[in-house]
Amino acid sequence: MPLPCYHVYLSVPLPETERKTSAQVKFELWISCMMRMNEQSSIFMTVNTLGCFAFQGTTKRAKEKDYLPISSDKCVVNRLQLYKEVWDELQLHIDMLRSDLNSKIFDDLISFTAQCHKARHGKSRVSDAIGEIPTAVLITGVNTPDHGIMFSNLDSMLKSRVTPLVARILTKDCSRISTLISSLISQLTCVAAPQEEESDEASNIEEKNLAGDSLVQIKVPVKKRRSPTMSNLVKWYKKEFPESRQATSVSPRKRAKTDVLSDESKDSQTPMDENDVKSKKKTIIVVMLEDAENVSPSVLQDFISLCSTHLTSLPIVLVMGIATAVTAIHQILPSSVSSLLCMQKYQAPPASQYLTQLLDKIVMAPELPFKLGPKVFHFLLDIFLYHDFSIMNFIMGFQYCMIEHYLNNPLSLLCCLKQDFSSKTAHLSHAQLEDIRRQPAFMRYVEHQVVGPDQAKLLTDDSFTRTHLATVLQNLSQYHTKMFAGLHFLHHLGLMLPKFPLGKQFRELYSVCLSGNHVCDSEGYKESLQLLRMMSLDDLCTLLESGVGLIAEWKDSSSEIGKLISDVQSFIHRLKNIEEEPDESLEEQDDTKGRVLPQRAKLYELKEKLQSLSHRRYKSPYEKLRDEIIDNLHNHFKILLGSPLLQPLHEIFYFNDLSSIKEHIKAAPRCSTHRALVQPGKYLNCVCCQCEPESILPTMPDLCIVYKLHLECGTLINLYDWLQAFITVVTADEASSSKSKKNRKTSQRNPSIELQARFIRAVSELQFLGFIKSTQRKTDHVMRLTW
Amino acid sequence: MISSPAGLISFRVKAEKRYDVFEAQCPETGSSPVGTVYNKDLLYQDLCSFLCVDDSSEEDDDEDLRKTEDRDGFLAGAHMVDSIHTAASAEAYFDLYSQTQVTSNRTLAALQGPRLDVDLVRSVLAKLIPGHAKHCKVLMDKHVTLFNNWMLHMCCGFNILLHGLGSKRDLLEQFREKHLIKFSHLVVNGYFPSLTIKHILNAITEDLMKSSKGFTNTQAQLEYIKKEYINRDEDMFLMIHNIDGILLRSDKCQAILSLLAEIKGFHIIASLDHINAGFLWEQMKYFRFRWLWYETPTFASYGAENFYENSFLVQQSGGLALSSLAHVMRSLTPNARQIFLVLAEYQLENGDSTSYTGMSFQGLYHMCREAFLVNSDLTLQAQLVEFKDHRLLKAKKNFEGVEHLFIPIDMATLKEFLQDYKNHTQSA
Repeated sequence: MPLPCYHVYLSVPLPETERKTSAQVKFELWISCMMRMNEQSSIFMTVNTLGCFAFQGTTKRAKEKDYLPISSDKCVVNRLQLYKEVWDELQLHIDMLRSDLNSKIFDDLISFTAQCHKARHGKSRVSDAIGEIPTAVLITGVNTPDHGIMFSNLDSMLKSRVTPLVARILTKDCSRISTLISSLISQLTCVAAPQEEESDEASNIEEKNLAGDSLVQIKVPVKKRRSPTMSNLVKWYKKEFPESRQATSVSPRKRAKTDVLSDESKDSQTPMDENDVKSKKKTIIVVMLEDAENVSPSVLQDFISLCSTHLTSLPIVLVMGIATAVTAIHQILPSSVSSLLCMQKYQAPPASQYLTQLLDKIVMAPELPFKLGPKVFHFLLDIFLYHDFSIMNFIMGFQYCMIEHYLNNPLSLLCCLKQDFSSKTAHLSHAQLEDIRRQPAFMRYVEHQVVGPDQAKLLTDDSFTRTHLATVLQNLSQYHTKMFAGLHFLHHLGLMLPKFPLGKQFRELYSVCLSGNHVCDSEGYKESLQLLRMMSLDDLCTLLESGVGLIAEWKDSSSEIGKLISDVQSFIHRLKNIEEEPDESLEEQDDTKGRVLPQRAKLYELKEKLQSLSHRRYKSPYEKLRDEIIDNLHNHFKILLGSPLLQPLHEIFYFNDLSSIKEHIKAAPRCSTHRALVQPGKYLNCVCCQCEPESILPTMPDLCIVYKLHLECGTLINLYDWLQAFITVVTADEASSSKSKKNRKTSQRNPSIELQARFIRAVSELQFLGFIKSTQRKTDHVMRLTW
Repeated sequence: MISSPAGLISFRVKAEKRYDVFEAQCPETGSSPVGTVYNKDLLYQDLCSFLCVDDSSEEDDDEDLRKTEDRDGFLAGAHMVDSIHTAASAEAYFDLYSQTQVTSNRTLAALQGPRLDVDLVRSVLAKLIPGHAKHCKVLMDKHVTLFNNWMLHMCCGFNILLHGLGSKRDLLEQFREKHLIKFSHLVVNGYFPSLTIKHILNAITEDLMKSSKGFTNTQAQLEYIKKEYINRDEDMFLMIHNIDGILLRSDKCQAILSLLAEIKGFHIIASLDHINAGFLWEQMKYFRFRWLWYETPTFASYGAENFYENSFLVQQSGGLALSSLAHVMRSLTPNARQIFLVLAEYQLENGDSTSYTGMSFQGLYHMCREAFLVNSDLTLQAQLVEFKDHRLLKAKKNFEGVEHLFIPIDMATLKEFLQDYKNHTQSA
């Protein structure tokens, strides 16, 4: 079949075509035409029917290792390998997390779909006659890119647990009711296809036959192709699942009985269809509308009424995804239609909760070696919270950071999973060690943090360096466990305080910790300690108890955490037996009695005395104990919560190069275009165009001059004046040298064709870039689209 | 910098207005309500960065700036966000639109000599020696060093998007010759005025997959490609010059492209130039693309891309008219199409004479009636409205007061259109 886009009306003899595909030839032709066009523009009309060109390749797969940056860096292959290992591990975690997160709501939803039609048949006939469709409304929240995955998870779960007949209706299928129905039918019949036999009569419904080869074949539509209508679906359903007909044909009394005594009904039915396991219950049809708000209301209305009329023969369950709230359905549908739905609401966990989980389990967990530095962490978090609210995008950004880290930082060779530390360091080759030694971070480490003979050894002795690196890695990993345990404990304490001085989310505390200063120096920390000092006995006791429970899993990982836990536990014990604390109030009272105010004293002496008295005010045993606890905790935190950026060789794990990823993830194309137009000299690096952003130089590219001139105008631009201004700027040099006013004037009136052509090109390029557009409001004017 | 919340609100309003402008330029965008919201969000984001309302503190940026300069010392200007104080702000918008527009009444007629035609302009420009050739070359060479990076990232599952001033055709062409030539790949000229998404899909199924199947709709075709490529252990590279090209701007096209991007083994490298191109994609599509942006200003003139664009000063070449014609035709009923064809054929036959003023309305009516296309002159009028709205038809009254209709497109374009249309209907 000839394609319109490949018509070349050229009588050029084709070159030898043995090896090239026809498209390739056409492409070359086209290129040559483009070249010749400059000389001979008449060919133009013949070539403008070409849009795309396909090329068959010889190589099948592109391999990463062929495209590594060309440099002396030899270990980059190993690092790429390492990246893949770590990323696979991470992906596993993410998948697990995702399925865990939705598991509860999915379980509810699935049991609903499984149960709803059973319950239905227990009811009286009247409700059947009305035909209320059981509907699960899944409130998904504003987080679209992730929804596809959620629904496909749900899809597979429903298919495995409830019924094979699950159809996902996407928005793209919903332009008309006919497309919707046909998509529904094709999905349902396609699922059932493997079950039916080759000779089955039902094969004249168009179907995808999976029974044959491994390759997917689509059967050519048979002559008697049925139109996709609901009644055809009903026929098909009755044929495919005859047991359902039996179920519907049983008398209402019997139906009621089967529901009450479901076990018995199974027993009674099994003998009828012993071969088919599914015959125990009616096969439900689940229809998922992923984005119900986006389906056009009329189509949705029609679909729902159709479903409800066929409900007696087709046990349909609807699952609707809603982004906002259930009220949206009532807004879309008139009450006559929405009354056909028997809705049950399910709220999916919001995206922010997902993010919190993700961050807690993956980004801010000691298990994963790769970590984000403060700048990158904030950057990715901001994109999520303020721009897109999409976890998938966050993960993509995270992945990109990982690639960059492994590709550009030679130290990342050591950034591996904890269990590989020793093997990884033991297998470092001499070249790799040399590579590591050359790193500025390593140099800094050797110079400042290692003393004595080790310094020299680290630089020369390979085996010593290997063992030393292993211990450094171990220390870092130890440090991370300590830090995260400490942070979790502190965060837990902070959650009970009014106004949350440490932030509600763990990530807020973590970012304080990342930022480079010690957590104990931060404002929030000081404030929260003060608030803790005011806590009541009961609160403090329960808080400490639950806090210890939280970090108990890290108990054995390091001695510091063990000590923290044992300290806190002893404090809890003392708090519970507060009566046994020594009460100093009696002595105090004696003391105060002895120190009666002197009869006569100077004013400042009296003042001092009073002040000292007030300082020594009475403290209950609990208050003393509380102070002791807080001071003790403070000491612990001081040890535990050092900033990761102060740790030796933290560069192995931390990626903090924001500038290298920012422009690739969150680019501002308009901004860059503007910059290039305003200051071309900065990009071109030429002497002639270096100037302030506001000024115009004749040496600049035409486009820049025209752009800068247009910035001076209002919404409408007079082309003639614009052209004159352009000529004035461009010919500024000549004009100043010739200095003949008259000459200049004539050149203004009658600009050379060359200048005009340059101006025309620049203006049309501005139009192409979207800065201006043509307008009919005034002759020879254009409209400005920016401001 | 915007500090007050009030400023932000007006800023937001402005952003929405801005969106409408873009919307107006691509009338095809039938965006869903939810999609619109996201589009505006994206736009807001871009404007934020445009106005330097940045999340990171300036200190950070300074530091980063120094770092980048250390790293690749050339693009000194690439990160000068702070140094340029962009004048754009919410107030600027209202300033600009509140004042009445005073422009001079001079027109281009004041220039001596005739208006230039396209060919002349092209030939003149071809002789010009572009300035800064050496510097542009240096800039280009710097971009060439990124090629390996691009391939690597595409292998890792990202797609590459180039932006920045200047035509990126040559750069991409170099990239193609150097790296893609041994793989199956497809070059798409997005700026091309009669490109449709169908062409792209057909090129994939017919030329690359060697399938002779006909497809009734794009969805089925897409499904087919997807299924095939799951089993194939093969990479496929899609190179799109100007993914923001006029005919690719529609929601549907971008949706299909984004779905292509999702297919296993498909990699996309694309360029974009339009300043509002960032709003082509709402969240869903944007995520499917998995773009990594690269700023590659080349300062080269948009020779090929701009080839088909109408210019104000020159006589029209008709490239764009052709595309809009094809567009309008596609959206019409068969009867209306036939009416237009009748008129177009008449014009082709008789249009050569200088005295041709168009086909008289009555004449058209009789011909259409004979062909059972209309049953009264009122229905004919109604059918013609569509063409008049799209400026594909003009009506003039001659000295006798009889209405004459003609298509304001030059003969060559019209001829080509008819030929195209016939081919299309035959193949379809």
